[in-house]
Amino acid sequence: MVMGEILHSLRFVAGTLELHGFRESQSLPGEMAGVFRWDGRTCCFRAPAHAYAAVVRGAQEAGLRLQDGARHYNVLDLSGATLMQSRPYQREAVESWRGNDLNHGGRGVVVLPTGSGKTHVALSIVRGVQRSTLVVAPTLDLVRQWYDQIRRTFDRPVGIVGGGEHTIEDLTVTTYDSAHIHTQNFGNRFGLVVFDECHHLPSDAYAFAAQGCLAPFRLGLTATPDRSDGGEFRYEDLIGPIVYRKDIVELSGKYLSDYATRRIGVHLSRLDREAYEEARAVYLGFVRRERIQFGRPDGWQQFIYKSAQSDRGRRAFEAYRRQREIAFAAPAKLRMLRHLLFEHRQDRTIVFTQDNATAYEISRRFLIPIITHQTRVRERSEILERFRSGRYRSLVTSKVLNEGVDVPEANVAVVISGSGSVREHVQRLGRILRPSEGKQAVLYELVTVETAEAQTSERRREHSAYQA
Amino acid sequence: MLTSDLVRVRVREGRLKAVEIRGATREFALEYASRVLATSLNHEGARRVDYEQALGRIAVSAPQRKLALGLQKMVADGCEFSSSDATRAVDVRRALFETSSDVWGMLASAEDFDGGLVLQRVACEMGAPAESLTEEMFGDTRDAQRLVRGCGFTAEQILERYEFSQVQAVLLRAVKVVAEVSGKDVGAVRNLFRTLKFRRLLFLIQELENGKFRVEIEGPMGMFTASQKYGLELALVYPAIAACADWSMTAEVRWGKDRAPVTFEVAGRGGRSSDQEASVRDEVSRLMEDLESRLPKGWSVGPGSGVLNLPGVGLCVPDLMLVDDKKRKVQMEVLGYWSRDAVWKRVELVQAGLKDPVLFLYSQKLRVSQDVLPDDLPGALMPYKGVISAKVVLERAKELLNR
Repeated sequence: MVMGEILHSLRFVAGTLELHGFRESQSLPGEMAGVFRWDGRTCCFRAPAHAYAAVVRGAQEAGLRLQDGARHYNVLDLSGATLMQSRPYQREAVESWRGNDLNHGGRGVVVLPTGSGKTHVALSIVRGVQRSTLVVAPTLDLVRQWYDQIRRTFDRPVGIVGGGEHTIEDLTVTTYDSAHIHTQNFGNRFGLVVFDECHHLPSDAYAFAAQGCLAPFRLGLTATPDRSDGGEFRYEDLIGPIVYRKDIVELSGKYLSDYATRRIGVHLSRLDREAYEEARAVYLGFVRRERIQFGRPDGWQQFIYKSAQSDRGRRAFEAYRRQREIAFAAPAKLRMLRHLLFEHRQDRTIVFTQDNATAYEISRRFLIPIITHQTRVRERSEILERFRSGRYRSLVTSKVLNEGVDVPEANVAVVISGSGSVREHVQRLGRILRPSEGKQAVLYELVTVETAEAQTSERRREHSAYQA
Repeated sequence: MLTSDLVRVRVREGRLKAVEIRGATREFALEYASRVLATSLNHEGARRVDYEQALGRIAVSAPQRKLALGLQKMVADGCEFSSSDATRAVDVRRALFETSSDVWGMLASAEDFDGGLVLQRVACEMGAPAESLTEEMFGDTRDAQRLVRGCGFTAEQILERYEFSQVQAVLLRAVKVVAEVSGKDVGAVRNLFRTLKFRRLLFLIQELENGKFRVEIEGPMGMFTASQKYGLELALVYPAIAACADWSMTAEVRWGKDRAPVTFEVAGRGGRSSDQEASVRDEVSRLMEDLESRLPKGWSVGPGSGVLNLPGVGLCVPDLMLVDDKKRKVQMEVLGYWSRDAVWKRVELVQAGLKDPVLFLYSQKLRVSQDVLPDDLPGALMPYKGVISAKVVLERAKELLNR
């Protein structure tokens, strides 16, 4: 091998890097040896694309001239960007991200509460890095929101991949689903990748969006970094370490709206109570008979497995669903909702449910707009726009608005039902915390008393935001 | 395709096996599939929710429930559903929500809200009965879809599709597949490699003594992480493997909630090939007959052997092989008239160092000159007009052997 001559080339192939020009028997210099492996299928060395920064650094350190056919991103002039002045904590977040591991480029996760301006932090970083940038967001609503923000800020064409669109520009927005599918094609086109709501990324299904992308600069944004499967340890590898963190209680009042949370207990009617108890007895009887322990990590799996083995099990499963439905959509909750919609008829109210059936029932009964996964993008945008403008004053949704959607005017949330997830509950609260003049937000949680739902409610409130 | 929650498998000692449908279970499956098929035909024109409720009324015992749901899925895949006019539903909703929003803003008490009155008012404005608005309001949702055409398959076909689909559903969780396929059906083998390439999967080939090829298949990232990212691609390659004359397959699968590594094995005999391949195959058999009648003494012709593979460059699967009186071999691949790109790929292969003498035959319509490959390489191009001339093929083969 003659150092200094271009004998070696690097290519981006389907989310990996191929290093050509070395034989299997040759040892690679420096840092490159740690990331590449010989691939007999294609007779070249191969590494995951996210090792790109280390590869280039390793080649430079070894004095190896590498013909870099992998990188296809551009240096941009974004100096004309129109950005509002950063708040102190936003400046700190940008500095922390930039300051982290200078030699290795900016990498890391910024944890800020919903409504505190994470997007502003990201746009400041995009402006500073000045490289082609890909933003990955969990939903099409968020993709549309990022698209508008980026266009407004940088006054350049913005690409969208997802929801039936496939245009790639130097600044492009996509969903996690699309990134998972298409990173193998466009993972070399961006120097900075921003993972919005990055707690989604560590799942097996989405991690490839980070592994198959060669961007040396990486930013993760989330309000809730913890995952129930403990997957947060993967941030370090996929994005970088957590570099900055602020909690809701640290910002509320000054940078977030003042807020109150109110738990309202509702009672089942006598008939519903009987039906609930009857269903619960069938369900719990089966659980006891089969000695299923829900305290164990595989307790739920056991229940699912055993309930599928016999007709009695099937009845127990149906009973489980029935008692849950009764508690989640008790008529008393809908009566209470009617009062809350009336009381807040001049506010902007978002009603959250655990399931679509209840959301549709509420939409039919009170004739308020509904957004579910079945709502097409155009109608979603129209509903959200009308909600922002005040043409609609309330809307109901199941889970699709849990995250990220920016409706600063929303000031009332009514949680009709939900899971025991702290993250979901904090995200729902976050929907109404974006600050505006004199805003006082309130989140109502309707809980059917003396049912299992009360315990679920206790579990999801285990967060400082609900203890303040 | 079945989803993995509908797959009936057993895991024992690290091996995953699809539960076979035989005996009484097979009888049940056939009877149940017949009833679901009949229900689908009887419900043509009905809403999806009504069709599904009718399926719910067919009695199924708990242990057979998963099989029943899988069969329902296979029948549903064979049905045609359509939505009502989505634009109309959106218009109805908009009108209702706008009016309702105005009404809520003017209420004096919560009890004053009357959805029925809002419906009446909007119905008047839109010139439609209030009852139809109730139905149209969510007429574009999944439940409201109409069953346009029921499934026309037989119960046996549904069962066959279920078993095929079950293998694919397991492969969705696969990280790597090792297949052994017979080289007897050249078209099927070629189609397999074309599918692998189309799916952007990588592979290692090894020729076995029994005339089979061992093909290790995984995604490019497979060597770094046991990712199920390529599960869908591996599942979509399965039909190409199953189309080979004689095949077996071992998949490395991550199964269950904890994604435990298990092995999944399946084998069969296929024989299905694409139309494109079929047209080429006719040309190949005609050429073989013509060559047999013109062969010089001591020469022989037979099906091609092996896969000519240059790792990192590409491969080709010869159709025929000529052996001369000195036991020297010339492989031949008939590319036909359908892909100019395929001819250029063969040119690259020869230029990159393919060692075996090989003759590539293709239609003149593809407009690739035979002079593209210089005379000192072991491979040669042979364009033909209309029918392939056995006489010219023999001349070119002799020329190649004498290089």
